[in-house]
Amino acid sequence: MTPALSDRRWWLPPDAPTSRPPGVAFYTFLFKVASRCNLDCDYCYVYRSPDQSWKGRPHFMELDVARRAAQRIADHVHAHQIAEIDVVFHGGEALLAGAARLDALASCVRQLIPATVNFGLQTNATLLTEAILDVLQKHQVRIGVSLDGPRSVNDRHRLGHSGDSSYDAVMQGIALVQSRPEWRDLYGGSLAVIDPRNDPAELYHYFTSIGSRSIDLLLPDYNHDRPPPREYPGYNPATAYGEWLARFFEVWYAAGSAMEVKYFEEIITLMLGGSSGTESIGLTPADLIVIETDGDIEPVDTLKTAARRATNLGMNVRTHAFDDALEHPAIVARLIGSSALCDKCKSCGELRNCGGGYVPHRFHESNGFLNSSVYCDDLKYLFGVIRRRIHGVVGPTQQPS
Amino acid sequence: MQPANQAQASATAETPDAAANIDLDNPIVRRAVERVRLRQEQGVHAVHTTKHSSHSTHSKGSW
Repeated sequence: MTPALSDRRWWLPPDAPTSRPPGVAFYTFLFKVASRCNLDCDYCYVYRSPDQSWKGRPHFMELDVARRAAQRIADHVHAHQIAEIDVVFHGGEALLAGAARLDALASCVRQLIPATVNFGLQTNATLLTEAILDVLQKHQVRIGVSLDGPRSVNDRHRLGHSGDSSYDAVMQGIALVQSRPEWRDLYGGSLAVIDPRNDPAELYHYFTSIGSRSIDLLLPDYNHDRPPPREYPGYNPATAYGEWLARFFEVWYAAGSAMEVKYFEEIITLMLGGSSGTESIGLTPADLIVIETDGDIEPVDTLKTAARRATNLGMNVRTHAFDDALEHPAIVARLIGSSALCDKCKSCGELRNCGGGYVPHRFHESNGFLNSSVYCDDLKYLFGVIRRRIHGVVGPTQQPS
Repeated sequence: MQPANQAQASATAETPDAAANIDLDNPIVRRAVERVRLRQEQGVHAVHTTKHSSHSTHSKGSW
């Protein structure tokens, strides 16, 4: 059965609110500036997912699409009295768009949107050039680099289309960013996908050694239909990913590291009573939206890992306002906190910290997203370890009950 | 300051961990305490935070 994204039963329990809460709006706009990639990572949520809609997309976002998107955003910030937003250039590989196109897109956005715009960009860094960095500096675009770790780690998954290593090209790109102070300031941090075969302590020391100010650790995008592999030496299969994260956490925490690890920082923030700053953990409303190269509006691109057309809202910036998207069940579900979750999550003691985990990881063909995360036991394990440490408990961590 | 996103998620009905006895000797915890304070001060009720945050809201981002 193919899930129907417009069917609220995939997203919301019967007793959930039927419409968006008052006062919500979008503040982060992801522009898919390129729909293709020069790498062929085997875990990619775009090209290795059930949804293959990228094949029918234009390779690049043309200026007329960006202009229409910016006009829609301008309407949105005016209607909701928003003073500051984030616009993120994303792919595919965003740098395939090239320096001139990125310059034109950023200038268009800046010109048409009557609000402060903070730019970001996620890249594999292999195509960074001085010309591109000059453009990114001109528009103060913060750069995130996708990199799993040292060569042996990175080459497990992040290869070129011919099976060739991407590592040297990535490191050349990072070296270029760090070659001038004005460019170095743009380098936000790294993004690494977890593979329990890698040594967490080695990875921690690696990322500090390359000058990454922050990193984020991503659970691979599996779900209940496609569960993650769990047989790894030295780990309990039921909690292998939680244990791996906990081992990384222990090294990082013991060092009192200045390098921020987004996932851990946000979990600690939640445990101390704060709100989450990321869509991947916690109950805080996720107020981001994606614009594809052809102008299609999508809730979040990672839903491609769930099913074919799982990101299809049937909306485009040429025909729809962003307020239209705010009414869609797939969007509403991410704005109403625990009301959108399954009974198991609602009754869980970690509800506030977890929020059901990341949405794509909840998917099952039988009932859409009304499940706990496929990483539920991993998350509980990790929360137990973090909680003990931040409350000053020393000594070996214990397996949570 | 921009108007806070007024979404009143049911998250507010949940109870955070006790703030007592936290490990304030660790700079990581001190950063988190400051982040909690800043977000409360800004009235942030959604994952979007301003340029004061170093964290990208999208899961596939580290800018």
